[in-house]
Amino acid sequence: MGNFTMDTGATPLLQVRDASCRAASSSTDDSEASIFRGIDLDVHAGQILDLVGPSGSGKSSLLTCIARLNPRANAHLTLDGVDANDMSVEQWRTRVAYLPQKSLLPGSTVKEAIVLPYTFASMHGAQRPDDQQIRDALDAVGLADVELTRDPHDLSGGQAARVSMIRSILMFPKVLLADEVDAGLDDTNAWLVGVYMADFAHRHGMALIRVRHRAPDGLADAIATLAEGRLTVEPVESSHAADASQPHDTAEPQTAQSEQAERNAQ
Amino acid sequence: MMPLSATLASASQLHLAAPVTINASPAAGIATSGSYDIDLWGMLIAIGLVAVATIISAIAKLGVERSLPIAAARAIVQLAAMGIILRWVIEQGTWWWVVLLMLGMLAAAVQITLSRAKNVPRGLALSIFLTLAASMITMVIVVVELIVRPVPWYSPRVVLPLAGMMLGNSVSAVALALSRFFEDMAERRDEVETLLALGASPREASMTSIRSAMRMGLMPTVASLASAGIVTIPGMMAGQILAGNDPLTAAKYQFVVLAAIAALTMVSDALILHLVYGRCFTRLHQYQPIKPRSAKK
Repeated sequence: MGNFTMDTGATPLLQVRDASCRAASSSTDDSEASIFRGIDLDVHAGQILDLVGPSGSGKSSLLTCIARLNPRANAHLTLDGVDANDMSVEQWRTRVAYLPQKSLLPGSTVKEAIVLPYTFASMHGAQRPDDQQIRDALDAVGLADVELTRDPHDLSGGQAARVSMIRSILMFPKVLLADEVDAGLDDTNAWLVGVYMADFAHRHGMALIRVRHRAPDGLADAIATLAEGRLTVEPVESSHAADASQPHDTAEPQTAQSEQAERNAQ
Repeated sequence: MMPLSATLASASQLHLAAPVTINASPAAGIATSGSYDIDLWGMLIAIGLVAVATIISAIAKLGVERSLPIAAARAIVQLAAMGIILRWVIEQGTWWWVVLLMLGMLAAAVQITLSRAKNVPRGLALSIFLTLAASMITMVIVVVELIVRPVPWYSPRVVLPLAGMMLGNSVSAVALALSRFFEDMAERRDEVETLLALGASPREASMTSIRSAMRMGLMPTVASLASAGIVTIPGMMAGQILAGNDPLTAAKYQFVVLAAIAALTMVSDALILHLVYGRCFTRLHQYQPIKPRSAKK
């Protein structure tokens, strides 16, 4: 079983060992019915990993497995060296946040929908994002025209997807598992969302795993391919700058990241 | 429970008002004349009424011409059996027969709840038993020993009809709440999974469905409280008046029972939902769709 550690020397933020997932139809644990098994993955703080692969290969299942949301999946997981079993599953999920494909926004206003996680016992005592933080986040992803008092039902699909992304990211997770967050967005907004999440990852040391179906946007540090139950991770050789029209050719990944972060912070 | 009973107490004047004005001058004769027994001819005429309904059903092709007489026959047998057993237990006048009969009613109630609740998972019998037992025992103690205070304390004539009425309403409320809860959880699947992903506990993720189920379970009770004495003379009151009791006493009993049923519905719904919501989740607090028991008619 290969160990697909990104060779950076540091201890990984998130360690996934021997992840396996059964197919939805099967109730037994036989090998034919598994979507994947024996998958290992290491992700470092601030790292952006794109998860690609043919449809049905289990990308979403791997993400929900890592978030401990998938009843058919199993894995040995550690975060910052702490075993997942040493904390409540709710605590794990607030730290390793899964951003679902479907954007459901319970709550009567956009603000209420975004601070919803802070109403749960698992986030008790955490500092809620204030109105300005929420406003800034909405503005950054092309939602300047969405008021905090807007009823979430009145949002378009693309707007709801971005509000849902903001809700997850403002939980300040250590790992964000973004499942096709940009699927329903036009190119401009997909790019804004990509840059916002990447910038957040770099500023807060959050690891970001993205399932994407769009063409690579040059923000990822590595591409993980899931196919036929096997995962292969390739570092992105030439890390592109945030602005695709100005590619950086041979810059070191770390340098590229910090330049990118500076650019995004502006 | 205190605020609820307080509200009910203040509502008592309101609901008593209707029967009181209607029976402003209770005829003293009614209270002492006693009841009229129904003879064989009376029973035959009643059976004839079922036959008429069956014939109409057959002519109109309603499709109930088979089930209606069977249900009527069942009712005769069950009611007769209950009458015989009740008469016997009342004659014995010992507390253990009262308790034994209540346990038997409880067992039947569990079975009826299970058959009425639609699309619920297997293995709920114990939870339902605990819920019905706890809520019935609590309410019987409150109503019989604190409100009615019969001598002896186990007076079967008081305890058994009240227990039966409590149980009957608990069964409806619990069956309704269970069906609604699991249906709502299935409908809200995506929302529940989203809430779990955002760090909600199973309880927090189920709360919307728990509320919806409790509201659903309480609706018939609120309706019967509001319409009692205006639209309907409820069963217990009608029975007591027919049996020759003072209508005002009957009205008071009816209100006590309605009040108890309101509290009972809340308590039993809260209990059963608390006991079963976890069924929708795995040990690791992941949503798992329930596998309904094989559908029963």
